[in-house]
Amino acid sequence: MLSALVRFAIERRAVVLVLALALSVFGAWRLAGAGLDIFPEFAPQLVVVQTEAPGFTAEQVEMRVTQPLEAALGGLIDLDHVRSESIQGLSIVTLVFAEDSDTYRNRAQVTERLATVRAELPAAAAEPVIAPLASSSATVRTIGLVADDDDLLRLRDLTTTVVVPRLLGVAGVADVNVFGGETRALVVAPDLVALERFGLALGDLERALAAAGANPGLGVVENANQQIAITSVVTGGGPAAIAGASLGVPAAPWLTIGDVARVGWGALPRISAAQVMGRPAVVMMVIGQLGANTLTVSDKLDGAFADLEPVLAQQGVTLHSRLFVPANYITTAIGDIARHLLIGGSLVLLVLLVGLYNLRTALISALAIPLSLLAAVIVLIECGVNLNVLVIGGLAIALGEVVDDAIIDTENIYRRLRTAPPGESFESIALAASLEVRGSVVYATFIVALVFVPLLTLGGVSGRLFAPLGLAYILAVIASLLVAVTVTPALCVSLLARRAAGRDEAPVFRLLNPWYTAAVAALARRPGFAVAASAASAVFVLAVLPGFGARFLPDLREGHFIVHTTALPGTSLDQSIAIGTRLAEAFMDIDGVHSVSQWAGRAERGADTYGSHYSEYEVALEPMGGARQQDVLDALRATLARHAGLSFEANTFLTERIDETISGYTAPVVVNLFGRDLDRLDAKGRELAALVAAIPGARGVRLRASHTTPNLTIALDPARLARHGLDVAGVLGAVEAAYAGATVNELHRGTQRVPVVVLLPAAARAAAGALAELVVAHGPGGPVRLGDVAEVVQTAGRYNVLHRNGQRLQVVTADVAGRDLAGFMGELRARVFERMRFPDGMHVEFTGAAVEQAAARSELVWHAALCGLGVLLLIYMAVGRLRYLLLIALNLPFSLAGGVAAVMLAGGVVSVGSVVGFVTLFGITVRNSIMLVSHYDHLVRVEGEPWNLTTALRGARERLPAILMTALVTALAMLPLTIDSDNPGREIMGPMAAIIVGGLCSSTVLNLLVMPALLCRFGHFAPAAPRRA
Amino acid sequence: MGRWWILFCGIALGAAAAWWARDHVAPAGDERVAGVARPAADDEAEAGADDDDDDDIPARVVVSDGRRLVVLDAAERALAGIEVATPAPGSVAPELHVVGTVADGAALVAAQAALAAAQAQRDAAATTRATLRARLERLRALSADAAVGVARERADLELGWRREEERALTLETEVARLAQALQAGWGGVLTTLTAPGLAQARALAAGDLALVEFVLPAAIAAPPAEFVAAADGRRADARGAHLAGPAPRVPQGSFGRGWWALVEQAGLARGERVDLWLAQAARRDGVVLPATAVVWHGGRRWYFAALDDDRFERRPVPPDAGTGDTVLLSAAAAATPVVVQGAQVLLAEEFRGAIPDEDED
Repeated sequence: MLSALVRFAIERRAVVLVLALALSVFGAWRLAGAGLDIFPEFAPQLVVVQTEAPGFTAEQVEMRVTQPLEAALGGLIDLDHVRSESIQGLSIVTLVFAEDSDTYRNRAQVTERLATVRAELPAAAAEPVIAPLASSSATVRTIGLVADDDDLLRLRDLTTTVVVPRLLGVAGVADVNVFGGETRALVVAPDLVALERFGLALGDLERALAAAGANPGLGVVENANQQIAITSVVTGGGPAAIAGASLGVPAAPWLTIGDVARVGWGALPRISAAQVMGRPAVVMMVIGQLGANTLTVSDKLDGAFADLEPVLAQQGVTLHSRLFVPANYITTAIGDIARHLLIGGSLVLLVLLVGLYNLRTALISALAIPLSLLAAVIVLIECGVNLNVLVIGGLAIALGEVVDDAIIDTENIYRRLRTAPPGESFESIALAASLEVRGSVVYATFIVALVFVPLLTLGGVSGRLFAPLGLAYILAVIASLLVAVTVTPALCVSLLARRAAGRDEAPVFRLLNPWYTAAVAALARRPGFAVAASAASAVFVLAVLPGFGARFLPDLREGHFIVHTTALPGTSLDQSIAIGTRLAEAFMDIDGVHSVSQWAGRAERGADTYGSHYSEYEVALEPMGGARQQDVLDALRATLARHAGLSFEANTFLTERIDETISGYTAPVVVNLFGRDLDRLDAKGRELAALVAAIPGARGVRLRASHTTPNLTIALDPARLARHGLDVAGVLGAVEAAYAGATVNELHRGTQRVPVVVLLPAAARAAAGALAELVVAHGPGGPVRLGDVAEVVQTAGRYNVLHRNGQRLQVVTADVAGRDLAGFMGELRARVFERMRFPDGMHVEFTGAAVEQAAARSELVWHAALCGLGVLLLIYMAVGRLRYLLLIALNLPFSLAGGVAAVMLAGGVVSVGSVVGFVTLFGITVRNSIMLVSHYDHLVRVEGEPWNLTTALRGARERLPAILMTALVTALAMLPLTIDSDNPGREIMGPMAAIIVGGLCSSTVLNLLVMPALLCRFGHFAPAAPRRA
Repeated sequence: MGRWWILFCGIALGAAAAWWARDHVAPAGDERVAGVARPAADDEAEAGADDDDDDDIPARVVVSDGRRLVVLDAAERALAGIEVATPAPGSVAPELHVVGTVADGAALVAAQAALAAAQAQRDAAATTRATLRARLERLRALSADAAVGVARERADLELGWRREEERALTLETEVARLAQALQAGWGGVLTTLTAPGLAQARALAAGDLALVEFVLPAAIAAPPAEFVAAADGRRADARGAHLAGPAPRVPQGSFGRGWWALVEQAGLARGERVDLWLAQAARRDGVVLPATAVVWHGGRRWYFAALDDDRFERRPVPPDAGTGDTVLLSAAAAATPVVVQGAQVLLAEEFRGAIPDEDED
């Protein structure tokens, strides 16, 4: 089939060239119109349901909100598991679906179930809300608003009525999470003394307010001609009207709401706070839709900000629109890669010119680069794969590879054309020359593609991140094969046919050949040294490789850091902001920091569902290189380490997003304890933690879900309630109104809907001792205080309650040092089942990153083994004999030695990107080895040369240009990436490129020196058996 | 043999290179795995730690002489905003706040007056009876010596005497009834305090004192004799009030014991509510902890004492320091400065293990 293809390409070269041109134009057009993003979508299939339950403790949220939701949401199609967290005022239920499930069907299922569960939730709880469908990169921009007069009410008003609607109108924006400011409400703050004097309670005030704000539909007056709608309006309106409304006390009809309460604009209790550069602020995170392009959305947002900024400035509000701009990293990274492609491409062209010593052959070979890459881009885009830094990186890595096939083809055709006897048809020469190397090139291409297949089968975040890179590489390589069998021969015949005859070999090879031949001859006469070198490198590689450190991703140089701080649960928002203000000042003192903003608490519908003790900081840097960024990061961490009472983490945005996406605990050993009773779970958890800590090798044993938060517990006495003629609902309703706020109505302020809320003044709510004195009812005998019907005591409550698949969960995690993980897990299981007893309803599950990684590793090993078998079979098919297969396989460590040395020089840490580099190196080495063996076989079997040292030297000499040029081309294409790789865009590709460059050094030595010597000693090439007559 | 020797040399060379490499070119320092800090490891099978970067934070909690202390240097204190101050002297007089109702003092006055009048009538009647008795005795004596002429007068006197006896009994009964009504309606102590002729009675009659009825929890058997009251609910404007004994009843639906108070405020209308503040315990002197110094943990209140510039000790707020928001420590505690800003930070540092890792589910 390939022969027919090559023949067709040569005979119909005009057609082929026109098609190639059309493909290039189409590819360029598609590339120009394609958006660029940072990473592929790597988030797992999640649907998050959040339900606000203001004023509820964690235990109340768990029992009254989370449990009904979990019960309703079970049993969905493709549902893998459900986990939930109940914190004060909020229920978060996360449904994890199978990776290959349909996103929209998942959400539709959840929506259907939620419609049926509302009636089971308490009235005070809000509607359950599904978090918007956002991209895995989530934030496309973070902005802040600061008012000149620090009026947080006005800031929040502007945010909700002007800024957020405008931003939501930008295509690609899924949501805007708002932090800080104060949510406006018409606050009716009761004067408890006045209420008591008039014999009233909070409930009376609520009823009066509800009556004062009634606004029902009033119907119509209909006559023969017209239908006239009846409407109503309260004269004056606003706080004055409400203050003047009657309380409806029969004994004192003149008594108004204003006589017992202060009515005015105020704020609802906060769940978040924010500051920008030390000023109180509103901070907004703009979340991108799933599939939205970060660059495109960011540009559109800039347009929106350009419209908003002058308007806000007129109102005394400063818009900080660049607190965090993820698009900057994309632009920098893509620009860097583009520069690399330019430099690398130029170096490739230079090598081709020097090596082939002919401009046309160099251009023919070089044309394979854009053709192959554009073809790969077309396929990727049409298959719905968005272009991102990793895909572009895959294509950049393939830069050196895609030109190899063309070089081999062109070089061989050109050599045959140069040395062809006169009179022979150029087409036939080109066809023969192309077919001569076709076999090995095809096998080598498929081998290179096959070694990347395990990358495509990686699961989890690794797979989602790196599979597109692998796919881009494979497509580029396959495209380069198609180009090599069609366009390259067509171009060679068109451009070289009449110009190649009699041309000499390139001067560089004329100079090199004698030296090379002598070196190969010397080594061939002493094959033992080749064997020794091969054995030494194998031992070296196999001994050193397992000792390298491992990381998932290197530090990315995004020019921006996200800092998290966590204080003790129960820390107030004011305290968190005070801490943040001091930290922000310290951060600004670090050289290179441009701006610092902070938000504390959580936003409604936000992905980060933490309490007031949690803060996140956006630290934007001045433009700087990777090394300085690392200095700034170190300085940030040093500053944070000096602050007492905080747990912290500082990272780049993408690193943090990947962290958050790796679901569950990241500790190697995780033991999940399930049960029904929380206190018993805690007790059993403590016992389990002690047992784990006693196992040799255990470190950092932690009991997870046991964090406490200060509580005031109202222990109602039913007997005392009955004596006063009160019920629980009435008493707790009064407490709710006083401290959580009771929304009894709403006002319309333009387009803004403002709740009317009964709420104690902030100063009254700050006095914990006043709770027992709260008047909850008025009886004939006078006021009834909370302390009359209940005991109010200080207790320690739970910060959160965790569930997994509807079961209460306590978790023990641990690290392991000094022994293997498998042995530790085995001993752990044995001790747990031997020494612990689990009460009825309690059971234990062993998991953790170790188990998950082992499972993933096992899966990867199987896939790699299968692919390895496939590779071996392909090599065998290419070289034809087991002897040569073993020679190639046993010498592979030699080729990897250079890559291993490169890793050592770079710090001895391998990442997933490094593995990609080794895989690429493996493919290149195998291809060159196959080419050498195939050429020897061709010389003996086709050209009838005897198999001896002379033939071996001739074959090596003839393959020298191809092998050396392909190695140089690949190495030089990668070289710009290795220089100063700790810079934006090169963090992942840099280590890959370093391994490829280093490995090519040893691989080239292997293929040019060691393999010829070993083949000379151990190869048995035989001529073709004569045909029987 | 030579080949095997060369092979062996090659293997040895490779092993030597590997050994050198692992010793001299090991992974440097902490390696980050997407935010997971890893300790530098050579031979150990190192594993990922928790997500936080704070593995290198120095230990700031030390145990000294059996006491658990948080130690912060000057830079750490400045960054954490720790402020220390000596608590100011102060005192606490815990008060119980109740709301009473102005009773009908005029009715009491009228009842007292009625009793007084009845008593006066009774006394007058007793005087009349005594006079009659004397005359009767004299007549009896005369009638024993004299002839006819005093029998009729004696009969009249005896009749008058019997009438006075009956009237005296009636008046006595009326006095007893009125006295009992006073006792039953107003209580013995109040009745005594507002007896006619006493200053309180005059003041009550003149409206310079207001009679207020209020209810206290049954557990309070002996309220203070003096306290303060205000009709407008403002403690700052409160007037003096005196305990005027237990009330014989409580308002319908109330629980506890009723009491009377005489409030030094004129012009209060019957039924008007009056706020009363009664001292629950003797005034205590000491030093006052500001609210910002107090933190809650484990169901109790705590504060941090600054033993010196660097060392802080968490101490419990005594149970008798007050249940309100004014925390009074003993005067002895005044010698040690306390943390007035940053107490929550110190608490978090001491219980660092209780800080959750928010990146986990």
